[in-house]
Amino acid sequence: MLTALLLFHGLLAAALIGAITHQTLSVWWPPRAAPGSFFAGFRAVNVASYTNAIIIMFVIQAFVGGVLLYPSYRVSSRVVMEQLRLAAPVGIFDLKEHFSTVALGLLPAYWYYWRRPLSVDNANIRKFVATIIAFTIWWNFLVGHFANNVRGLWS
Amino acid sequence: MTVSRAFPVFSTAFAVFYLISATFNYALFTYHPLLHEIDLLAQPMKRGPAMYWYGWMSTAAIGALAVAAVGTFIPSRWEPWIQRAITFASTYAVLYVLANAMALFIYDQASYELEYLKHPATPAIGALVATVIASFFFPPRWTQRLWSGWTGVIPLGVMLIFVYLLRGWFIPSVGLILK
Repeated sequence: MLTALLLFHGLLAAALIGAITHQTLSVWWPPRAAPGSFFAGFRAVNVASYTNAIIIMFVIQAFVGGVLLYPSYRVSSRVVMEQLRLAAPVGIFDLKEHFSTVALGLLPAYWYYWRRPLSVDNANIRKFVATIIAFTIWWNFLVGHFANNVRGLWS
Repeated sequence: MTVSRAFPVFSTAFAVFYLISATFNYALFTYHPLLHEIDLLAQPMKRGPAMYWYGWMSTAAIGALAVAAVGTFIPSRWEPWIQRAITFASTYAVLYVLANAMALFIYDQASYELEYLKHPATPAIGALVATVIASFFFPPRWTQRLWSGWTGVIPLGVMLIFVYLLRGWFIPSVGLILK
């Protein structure tokens, strides 16, 4: 059951990363002309429509990771990492926990600034909040994979 | 302030309350994962580890909800004062970190004992005096209207403070890599 949940967590993380990366790149680097290249097309999507999907996926991720998987990490994986004196992996996983919580709390503001019609006055804060959430999602994705494979990395 | 403005207020307050509850362990409840037991408030570990994370989040959510609710009743004419208060508090936080680092640096370098530099009140008072002086030089645009950027700056600042608080986990590894 835990393996299935972990797989689901990883797959949903990939979808979340795709959505938030589209949104963040398009606000920082908006396409100027009709999309010709792959990268221009990547940025030329209607990113405001991604907002609710990103919020729902983030909340599901927080529930699956934080409520269903985190207790078993706390009683088994973390104990092993501490016994192996892998201080840095434990530390970066703790940061994942705190960054996720701050980003989870940021979701109401993210929804508020990204609701349509998009306000011109809030363009900068919209960009700022999307970037913080994007950074958190990328951090969580990389640290999650790192922690999952940590024993293999040091064997 | 309108009801919809409560959303950014909640997010900003949540980050601050979460930092406080995680730093000082103000957990609303403690979960013991091995026993599947929940105790009210922060309790020591029983058999196996104790998890405070859910309790910290709950404390932060209650605090942020209260602030957001109060925020909906605050009239717009008070916004410059809120802006001034947040600017003052943020400046104080940055100056406190600098004053604390400077006090410890001087303490380490000094050839004789300067015990008062290690006292927590020293950087706290120093930063307060510096903030009061700095507040006379704040540009008017910093204090005239409530800045929406706090919604990003404060959570980002909280994330950076967590990096600082958890530095003990990384510094030995960074030292080993640099070696």
